[in-house]
Amino acid sequence: MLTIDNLEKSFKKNKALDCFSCEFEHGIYGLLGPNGSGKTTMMRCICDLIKYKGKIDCGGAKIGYLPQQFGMMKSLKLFDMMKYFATLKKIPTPEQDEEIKRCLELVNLYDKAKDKVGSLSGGMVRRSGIAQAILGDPEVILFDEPTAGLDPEERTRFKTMLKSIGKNKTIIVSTHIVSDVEAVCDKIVIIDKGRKKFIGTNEEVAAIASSKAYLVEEKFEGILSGNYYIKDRITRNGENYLYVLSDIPIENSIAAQANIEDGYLCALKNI
Amino acid sequence: MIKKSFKLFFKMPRILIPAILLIIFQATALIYYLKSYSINGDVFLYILNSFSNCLISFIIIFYVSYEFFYLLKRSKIDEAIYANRNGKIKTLSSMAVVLTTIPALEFLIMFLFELGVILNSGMTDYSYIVHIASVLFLYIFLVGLIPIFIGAIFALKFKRIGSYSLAALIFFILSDISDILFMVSQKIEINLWVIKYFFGYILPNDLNSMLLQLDTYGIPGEIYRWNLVLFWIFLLLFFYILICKIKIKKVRVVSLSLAGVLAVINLVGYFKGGSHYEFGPQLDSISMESYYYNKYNKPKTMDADFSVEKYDMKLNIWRQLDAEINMKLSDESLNSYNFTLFHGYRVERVTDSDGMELPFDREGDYLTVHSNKNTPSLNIKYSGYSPILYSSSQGCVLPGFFPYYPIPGFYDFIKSQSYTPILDLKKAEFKIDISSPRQFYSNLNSEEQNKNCFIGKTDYPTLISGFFRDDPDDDYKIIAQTVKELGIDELDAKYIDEIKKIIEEKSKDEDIKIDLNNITIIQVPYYIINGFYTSGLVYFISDDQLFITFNEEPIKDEEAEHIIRAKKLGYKKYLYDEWLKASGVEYPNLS
Repeated sequence: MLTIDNLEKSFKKNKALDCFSCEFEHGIYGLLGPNGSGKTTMMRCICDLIKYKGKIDCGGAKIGYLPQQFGMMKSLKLFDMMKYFATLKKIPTPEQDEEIKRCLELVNLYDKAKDKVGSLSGGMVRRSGIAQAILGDPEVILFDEPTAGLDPEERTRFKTMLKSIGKNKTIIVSTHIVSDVEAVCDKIVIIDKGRKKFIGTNEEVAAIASSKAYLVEEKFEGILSGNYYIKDRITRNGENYLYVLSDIPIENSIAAQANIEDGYLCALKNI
Repeated sequence: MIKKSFKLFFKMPRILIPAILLIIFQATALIYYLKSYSINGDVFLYILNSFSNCLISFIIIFYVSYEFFYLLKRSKIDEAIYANRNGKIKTLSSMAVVLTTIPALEFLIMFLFELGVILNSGMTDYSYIVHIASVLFLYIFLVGLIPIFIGAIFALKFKRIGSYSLAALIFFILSDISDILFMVSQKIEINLWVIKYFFGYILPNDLNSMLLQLDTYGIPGEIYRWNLVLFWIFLLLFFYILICKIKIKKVRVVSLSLAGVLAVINLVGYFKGGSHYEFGPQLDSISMESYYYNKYNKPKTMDADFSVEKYDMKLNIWRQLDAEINMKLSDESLNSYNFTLFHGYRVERVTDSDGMELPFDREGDYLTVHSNKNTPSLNIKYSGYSPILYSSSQGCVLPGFFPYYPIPGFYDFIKSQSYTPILDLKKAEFKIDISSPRQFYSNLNSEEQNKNCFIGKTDYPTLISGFFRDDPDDDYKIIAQTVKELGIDELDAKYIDEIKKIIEEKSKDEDIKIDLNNITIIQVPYYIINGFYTSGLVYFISDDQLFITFNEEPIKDEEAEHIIRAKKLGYKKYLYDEWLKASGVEYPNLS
């Protein structure tokens, strides 16, 4: 379990985290927020990479971390690089090879173990970053934008992997792409401007937008009022529609089925 | 982690290759210098040469260190590593340990070469081996840690351009090129050397200069230099620990405090000073002295109305000369007593025989003690050093004609950038008790129990220490240098025997008596002559001592002739004649 209490972090005059408190039980958490909302800063605070105010308690659990920007030493073989991390994580030497194999297989990179890091593609390096984060079976794993640079197949593989390793662990996946988390996360934490906006299950997030999602013909755009947000423009049966999230009912509109992304946007836009 | 970091290091050609090249370069240079050693047999020249690449080594180690640590940032692996428990301290310290092997290897290789040369030379002074090991440890290993830390701190804290710019500034200050600052400082009358040396003394600067040889002193490795190097190491270590962000508070606080305290202690130690032996063309000690004399000194000449019958001297020679001199005066009724005492010695206190403090005036090289009552004896306490006639735990050369002790009367002993010997001194009883880690030698006899305590009557009490030896079993009392120098062999009884025979033969018709068996023959270091207005082959001769340098077969006859002439004319006249012969002008004292 990971407890964050009144976490504050400022970069000069900009508050990156503002009294952020949250309790993360075992499970997979999606940390959703727009760019600059404080997701990376929060993860770096948890890993003690930067100074902060407030309290973070992970009960002495081992932490695995995939930073937003991750690279490896290009002249080293992937396996040697993993060995370096394994030693750093105090994995006993006789167990290292087996553990490295397990992690590389999980990210579908075991066949590249003997290759030099410099010969790997950007996506492969990202996956090797995921592998080093889960190396040593840490109790708390933080993934910062894990799917950035991954192709659709690998994104799917990552989600499957998350499910397989997520038992009895606290995993936080930071992203601004809702689809990355909606299928796999037990809970979603919405963060904006360094503050926690919402925490709940997928359904609870989607519920934020219930009765707030509408399809409005484009010609009625001018009558929109109150607090609203045009999420999309779509064409249905030859007619152009706006997908609108609004805190007040819209006349001449069709109610739409709200999803997690709608809930996330409503939370962000205070709709 | 260290093993893994080694693997990392070996897999990085851009840092591995320069490191290997540095080691190869050092080894090749040492082999190359062997060539000249095989010709000249000069052990000291060999070590001088091997130190000449210190700055290159410093720069390469900085580069390797910077690039090694910068790799973490450049490859964007740093955060993934640091996120692990103690990941930062483990990684950074193991990388530092890996880099430490470069100066360690340099140290080892150089020491082995030096050892080989020393053993090959047939030298019997094994303290020289200890000296070489210690200066190599200081300048190669310890100094090698400094660029490692600087490289690490720069790589972890600054961007590349800033780091290399700052590094270039450091290299500039360390190099001889920055000596140009001294020229500026002389013009604007601000002593910028203080800044230069605060950085520059971490390298054995000026060793490329062959103008002066330091064979009896060795490579300068005085305590203040150790203090300075250790200060930089602990200061940088302090910042390094800060950057490492040790998670355990207790360990962090203790290690930071320890590094901080040790840095401060060494800084205080450095500024506490000590005998600075300054040499080289940029900071020629004589020209520095000249600078001092041109600016501050008002030369005086005055005969003393008294003499000192007995000197009881307690000298503590470690960082510098700390002296307490008790003098029995010939005339106790004077109101003032004038002495010449080198300006580098700060007089702390003057007391009379009752222990009452007496007022005194200190003006340059002159000391005047005032007294309004009977003063049978004076006690003077002072400390300091001369930049050329050094006195430290590493060595000491204090000829009796130099005012390292209060000499009655005022003498002007500086002429045109050089010292002149103070001659015609009266004989007095001396007891000189020296506290020092080194063995001292003198024209006075040492006590049986305490070899560093000298007793006897002389006009010129000379003290010598460093790489010298004497052999009590010889028929002669020879104090010879033990380090093989180009063209100069160790002075030995066989050579003096031959000189003696020539003297006997050539002086049989002369009415002079030269008893080489009963005087102290001192093989003086060449640079002492360089600092003094001397000429001829006899550098000094009195009733109980003879200063010569060379032990060379071809000049043996000539050397003997010079000894006869110096004895016949008296040293003063001999010196003046030789000077006139060599330079075509009269000796400065006569002008």
